[in-house]
Parts: sequence; C-alpha cells; structure tokens
Amino acid sequence: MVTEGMADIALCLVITKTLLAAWALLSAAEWFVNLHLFRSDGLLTWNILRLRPRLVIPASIRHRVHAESAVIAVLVCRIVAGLLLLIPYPNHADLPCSLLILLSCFYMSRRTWFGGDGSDQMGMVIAAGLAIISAGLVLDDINVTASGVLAISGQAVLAYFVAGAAKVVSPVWRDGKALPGVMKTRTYGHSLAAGFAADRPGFCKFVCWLTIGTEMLFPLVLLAPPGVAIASLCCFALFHFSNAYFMGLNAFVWPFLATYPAVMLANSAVRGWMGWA
Amino acid sequence: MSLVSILLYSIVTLWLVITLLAQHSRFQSVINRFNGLHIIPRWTFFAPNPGVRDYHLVIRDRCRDGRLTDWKSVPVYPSRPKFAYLWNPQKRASKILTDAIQAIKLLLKRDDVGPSGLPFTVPYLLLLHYAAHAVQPEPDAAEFQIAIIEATGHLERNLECSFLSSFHSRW
Repeated sequence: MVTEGMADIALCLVITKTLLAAWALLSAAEWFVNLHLFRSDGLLTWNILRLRPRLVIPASIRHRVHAESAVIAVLVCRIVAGLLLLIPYPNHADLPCSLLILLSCFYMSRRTWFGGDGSDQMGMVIAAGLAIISAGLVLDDINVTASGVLAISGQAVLAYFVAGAAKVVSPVWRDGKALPGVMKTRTYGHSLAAGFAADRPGFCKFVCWLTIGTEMLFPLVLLAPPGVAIASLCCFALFHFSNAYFMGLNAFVWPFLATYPAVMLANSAVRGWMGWA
Repeated sequence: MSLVSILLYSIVTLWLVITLLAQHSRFQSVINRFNGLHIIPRWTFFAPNPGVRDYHLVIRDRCRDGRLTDWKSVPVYPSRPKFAYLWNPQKRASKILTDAIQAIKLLLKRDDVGPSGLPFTVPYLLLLHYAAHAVQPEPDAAEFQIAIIEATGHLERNLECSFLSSFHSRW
C-alpha cells in the first residue's frame, strides 16, 4: 500500500517538476530580457530601492548583493536548476534544484519589490512543495512527502477559492463590468475580446459569474470522483490557456498546472478518508 | 509518524492558515510586517478592483526663462508581442509601473504621508528617477515635472491625468 502510494507520489513529482522547470526557465529568460530594469537608470535601480525600510542584508555588502551581476547570477542558478530538474526520475538533483529555485524566488521578490505576480507566488509554492516531496522520497518517508503534497494542493485550493471569493464581494465583477473593463486595456486586454464584449452585457455577466462560481467551487475537486476531478482540472487548465491568450498571462499556466498532480493526490487521500475510494 | 513529518505537517498547516488570514485586509498590515520574502501569497487576482486602466508616465521641463515644454511620453514598456501567450517579458515593466502607481495612490490617502510626504517615498522617487533618466532634458531645462496618465480603449483612447508631481531640479 505504502509502495503504491510512493509510486503515485513519484508520478506526481515527475509531472510537477517538469512544469516547475518550464516556469523556472521561462521566468528567468523573461527577466534576462528585462535586465536593463536593474541598471542605475532602470525602473528597479538599487540607487532608489535601497531607500526602502526593513532591509535585512548588512549595509556593507548590500550594494553587491543587489547589483545587476548578482541578479544575473541568481537567474543563471534558476536556469541551471530548471534544466537539472528535467533529468528523468529518480534524480538526486531534485531536492537541491527545487531549493535553489525557491531561494531564487525569495531573492527576486526582495530585489524587485515591484513587478511580481501570481505566477511568481505559485512558482515559489511549487518549489517549496517539491523540495518537501523530494526530501520525503530521499528519506523514504511517505508522511514527509504527503506534507509536501498538502502544501501544494492546499495553496492551490486557497488560490482558486480566494480568487473567486474576492470577486464575489466586488460589484464590478457581479454586474459583469470587470470583463469589458479589463479587456479594454492594452496591458491585460485584447482588442477583439473588447469589441465582442462591448455590446454584450449579458454575456459579460455570464462569464464573470462563471469565473466566480468555478473558482469558488474549486475545493469540491477534492471530493469529486477521479474522472470528474480530472475533467474539472482540464477545464481550469483551459481557463489558464485562455488567460494567457487574451490577457498575456503566459507565466501563470505552468505553475498553476503544476499544482494539479498534488490536487489529484489530495483528492485520492480525501476520498480515502471519507471511505469513498 | 516521524518527528520530521510532524514538524513539516505543522509548518505547512500554519502556512495555509496564515495564507487564508492574509487574504483579509484586517490581517494584512500585521502579516506584511513579517512577509519580507513574500512567503505568504496573496491570491486575490484582479479583485475586488480589477485593473481597468493602462498607466502611462509623461514628463515636461520648465526652462530657465519659465517656459514649459510639451509633455513627452516616458517609454516604460513596448506593446504586447503577438505571441504573448508564449513569451511576454514586457509584462514585468508594465507591472512595475502599475505597482508603483498603485502604491502612490495608497500613500496619497494615508494620513501620515499624503501629498506633502509623497516626494520622500520610494515609489515616487522610483518613477521620478526613471523618468528623469529615460527622457533627455531640453538644453535649457531647469526643472521637470511628471504626470500619471490613465487610459482605456484600444482604438479610441480615453485619457485622464490622475497625478501631477511638483517641479524638481533637473541637475
């Protein structure tokens, strides 16, 4: 039974680490294109960001730690870790590589202060969860791996549910104006979608409520029969692909899809506890 | 169950509980104090107030004779690439600008900052510093001023100035 559980977790690890690697490579490559932001005349210049409060690095080495060369070094580490994660299972590099990606997430969030998004947050969650799962496989301790699965699936459930709950309390979302409003921007919108939504308030209201409803009902994936749960996750994957297409949220796809194997393991565990397995 | 797994279960459970609490504005100020590494995520994507405006930064100079130049756009990020669903590095600069402007709006509402304290805050200095370096000054410019323009629409753009800075020395 324990061996079978470990096999499921190993499969979860393989899928999750592949998707984490995809995100790590994409995010690092996109930051490389933006290195000018870290220069003395850039939007993230350390000359100004060093003025913010609660900096933990000692003043004597602060400038070196936050220099453009340090950012490059961290991004190179993320790329190397991402590439090593692609080595097939069993891979002894999984634990150090996921920890390295986790540390790179911490560094980039401290260094940039502005500009982070939900994909960075979920990337950090996946790296942390994957490190725990890998440690469990190294220690051959199914409870350690299960805590890693709990971390990823728990954050995934919270992410979708909170995203839906935050929308349901918003009048702009409830009356359907959020969709055409966002689509009308050049930053996150799409000219064709904006044109289509402009004269269809009923359709916009339907899409907004569909988003709210499905996001808030995400926790039910943990209780659903496996076939229904997989079908639901496929629909959520389509949701992320459509967000990538219409809103340019390309980096969200990989870390959010990376949570799904852990969600399916959590589904199996919850249904087992309920006696529904 | 091993001691390590009990410890990990406890830490993960605590992480999830704090994450849930952190989504509510009542707990955010306390949690933010200990969240320097952003270990506690915020999952309220595009809600409750979705971004329905594009932000632009503009700059103008005041010359030594008091003459004001025209407003010039400060280049922050190029338009979204055609294949943004695969590759979209531009989103970083646009998100930095949006985050800095949102922070400025919040700081303006705070009693302990407000319009008088704003020029001493990091988001304001960041935009000021960037704009001053991104756009070359007029030959006889003495001071400059920046403004935040909010826009909506794709073909027909509706523009609105939402913030105007004081004048600052160019040199």
